[in-house]
Amino acid sequence: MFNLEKKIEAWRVDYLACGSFTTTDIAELETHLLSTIEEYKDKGLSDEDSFILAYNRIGNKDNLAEAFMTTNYRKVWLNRLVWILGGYLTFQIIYLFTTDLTRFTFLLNGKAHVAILEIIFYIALALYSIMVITTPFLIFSRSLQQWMGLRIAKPGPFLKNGLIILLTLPILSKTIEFFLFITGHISKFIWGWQGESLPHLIFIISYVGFINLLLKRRSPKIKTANV
Amino acid sequence: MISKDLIGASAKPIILSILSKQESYGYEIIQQVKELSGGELEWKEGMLYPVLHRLNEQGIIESYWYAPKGKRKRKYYRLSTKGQVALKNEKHQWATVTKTLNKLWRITQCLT
Repeated sequence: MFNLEKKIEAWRVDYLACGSFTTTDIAELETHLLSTIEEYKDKGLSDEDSFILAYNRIGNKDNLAEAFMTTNYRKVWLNRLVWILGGYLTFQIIYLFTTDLTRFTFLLNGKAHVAILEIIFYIALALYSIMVITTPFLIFSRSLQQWMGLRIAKPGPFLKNGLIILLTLPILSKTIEFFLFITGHISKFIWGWQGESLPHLIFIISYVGFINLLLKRRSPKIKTANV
Repeated sequence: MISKDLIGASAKPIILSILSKQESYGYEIIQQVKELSGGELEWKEGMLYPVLHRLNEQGIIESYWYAPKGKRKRKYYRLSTKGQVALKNEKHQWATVTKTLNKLWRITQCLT
């Protein structure tokens, strides 16, 4: 049995998951889809036929995504930036917790298995804190909620991006150390002061740019007005 | 059938002209274009929105969500003052092109 509402819901999820459309874009396209479906239904067509015809009239999803990216470029980029910085911070928190703890427990009793247990405990605690902090946002922001729902419904692209970020994090951490070492010595040599925050910031910005290159292959600036 | 390039190029003046008469939303704009062109101008419907959004970003048109009584909520667009200037400019450009073509074609018609 054809369920029109479920089909429209699936259509919405499919479009949102592709990441190039904002929730307002989807809402606007949805009113268009509904109007077209109504037009066909008024002519006496079935729900299913009306949906298929309306779906085809809106156009190919990939082409649309590309065209929408020309105006949504900044929003999509910002979204990625938030995730990358969030991932970086989480990594730093876990990293700090684990390294300090291993040292601490080893000093205390010299037993490795206790240290490992405590590491697991603190990782769980860190994840739990993140969950507690983000939950209010999830409750209050409908679009974020939808977005999170999508990540669960369509985990493919999310996992791929997550994996890229996770794999590059150890490289990032080592490179930061090296970068700080070099710039620290240079600034010490020039100004007699070993500053850390500025090179750190520069590095994070360039890293974000690098990740953005990895995640985004299509150039948004090629397409001109094309109806 | 009108070629893809020409459809792309004529989108802006057509949208601006429709919006100069009355504020409208995507679906209605497409219906009007279809009607006026006798179905000859066939737009890929979803592609209208990026164009609208770009014009909106440029400040040529303005947008707002609105639900008329008994109808569904839609995103409406209307021409801004900047848009009126842009439309005037477009009109001038298109008039020049058509005038030139008309002159050329009238000459060839005389020769044959």
